[in-house]
Formats: sequence, structure tokens, C-alpha cells
Amino acid sequence: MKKQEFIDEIRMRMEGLPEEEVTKSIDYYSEMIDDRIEDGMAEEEAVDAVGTVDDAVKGILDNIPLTKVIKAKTKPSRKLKVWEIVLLAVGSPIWFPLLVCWILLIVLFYCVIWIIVIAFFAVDFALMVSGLASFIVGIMALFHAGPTYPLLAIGAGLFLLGGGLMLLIPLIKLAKVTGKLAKVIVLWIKSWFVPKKKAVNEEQEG
Amino acid sequence: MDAQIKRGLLDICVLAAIKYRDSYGYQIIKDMKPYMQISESTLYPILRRLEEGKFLSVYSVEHNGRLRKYYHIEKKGMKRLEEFTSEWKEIMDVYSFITREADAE
Repeated sequence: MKKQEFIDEIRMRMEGLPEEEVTKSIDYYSEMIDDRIEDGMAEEEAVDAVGTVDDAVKGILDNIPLTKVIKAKTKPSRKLKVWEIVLLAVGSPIWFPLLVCWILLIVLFYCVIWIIVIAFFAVDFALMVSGLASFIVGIMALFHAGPTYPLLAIGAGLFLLGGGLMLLIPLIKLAKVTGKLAKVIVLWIKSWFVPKKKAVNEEQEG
Repeated sequence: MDAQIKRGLLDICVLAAIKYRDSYGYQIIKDMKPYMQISESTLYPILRRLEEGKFLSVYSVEHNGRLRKYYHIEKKGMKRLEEFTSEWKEIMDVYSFITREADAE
């Protein structure tokens, strides 16, 4: 691939995104390629060494907030014609609920992931609280009743408390993994809004 | 090297590459190469993040009829490096514990 093709493809896929980000990234890749050529590489070789357009696009998306990506990519690139506005207005009972539904689905999906983690923590917390309560009640009952049941309560309390504490370790790990997963999901959603490949290329390949 | 550890070290290495003199993208990659392989597409988000976080600043210099961006480390970046080295001392203590000889017990 030639340098210009590489740059054009990035520009095409980033179309509509904040111009400042697009220009910065294109300047960066263009400088990298030029520096490699100056270092003695052939143009195609330099472009290859810089990496794939996919990786470049991912790296650029990394620094643009999700809301900005969606806003830029759903905004029409030209002024709408009158009949288009009419059509949009007439069709709004259909597309608007669908759009809201879609957005809610994404938000809900994101929430559900975290709610599962929170639920785990809540259960663990309940275990520890009930363990502590059982322990305290057991100690208090020791002075009033015979030793059998209070000791049982103390033992059960310690068991629950210890189990709850031990469960904390894998749970914290789970929360960390979820955080990473959530990041991957956000990047994945961002990539929906970026075209996969240049239309011309598809024609040539198909 | 473990991917997790590598990711955590990349920001620090980029700052270290411009610690003594301002440098540009390709030079940073070349300077880091003996210690850590990094690709252009990995370096870009790191540089942007460090710039947004005011760890470094960027300026352009004309070079062979085109512009080249130079990265300059800021106070905050220097501080981050210092913090890292002091943390690393603790890690080295743990390292010597892990690799101690049997008779040291």
C-alpha cells in the first residue's frame, strides 16, 4: 500500500469524527511513514512497518469518548432536503421508539454486567454481617444458656465470617476483569460506527 | 514479558525516552526497541493520553520541508517517573526475597 492510500483510508473511516483528532492522527502516521522512508525504507515497506489501518483506527478511537463517536457518526454530513425532513417526521413513530429501544438495550447490557458484580458483593457482605451477628449473639447467649447452642452459633458465625472474607479475593478479581471487559465492550461499540473497509476495495476484492 | 506488566510499563518507558532530550515518534520507537518492542499504533494512544494528561507537551519543528512533532516532558511527567523509581525500589526488595538463596533462611 502507498502512503497516500493508507492516509486516505484512515481519513475515510474516521469521516465525521472530530476534525482535530483526525488531523492529529493523520499527521502522526504520515510523519512516521516519512521518517521510515528517510531511514532508507521503500514507501510500501514503510507503510507496512507502520501497521494495519485497523490497528491505527483502533488506536485513534481509544482517545475519543464514546458519546462523541456516536454523535459524529450519526450526524448527517450535509443539510437535509425538505422531503427528507418530512419523511423523518412522518416516520418518527416507527424509528424513534426503535432507536430509544436500541440505546436502552446497550445501556442495560452495560448495567447488567455491573449489577451481577454488585450482587455478588452484596451476597458476600450479607454472609459476613450474618456471621458477625451470629458470633455476637452466641457470645451473649453463653452467659444465659447452656454451652451447646451458643457455641454452635459462635462456630457458625466464625465460619460465615471467614468464608465471606475469603470470597472477597476472587470477587475483587471478578470486578477487575469486569472493568476490563467493559472497556473492551465500549471500544467494540465505537467500532460499529466506523466503516470496515473502503468501498472501492470491496468492489475490487468482490 | 507478561502483557499486563508490559502495558503498565509502556507509559513510563515513553516518558523515559524523552527524559533528557525532546524526541519525535520514530526516534522514541527506535530508542525503546532494545528494551521493549512497540508499534506505531500502540504508541499513538499513549502519546495522546500523556499529552491530554499534561505529562508531556508537543511542538512542531520543520524538517526536510515537512513538519515533525517533538515531545517534551513536563513537570508532571518527571514526577511520574520519580514515583515509578521509588515504587520500583520496593518491587526490587520483593524480587530479592523471591530469588533469595536457601541458606539465607
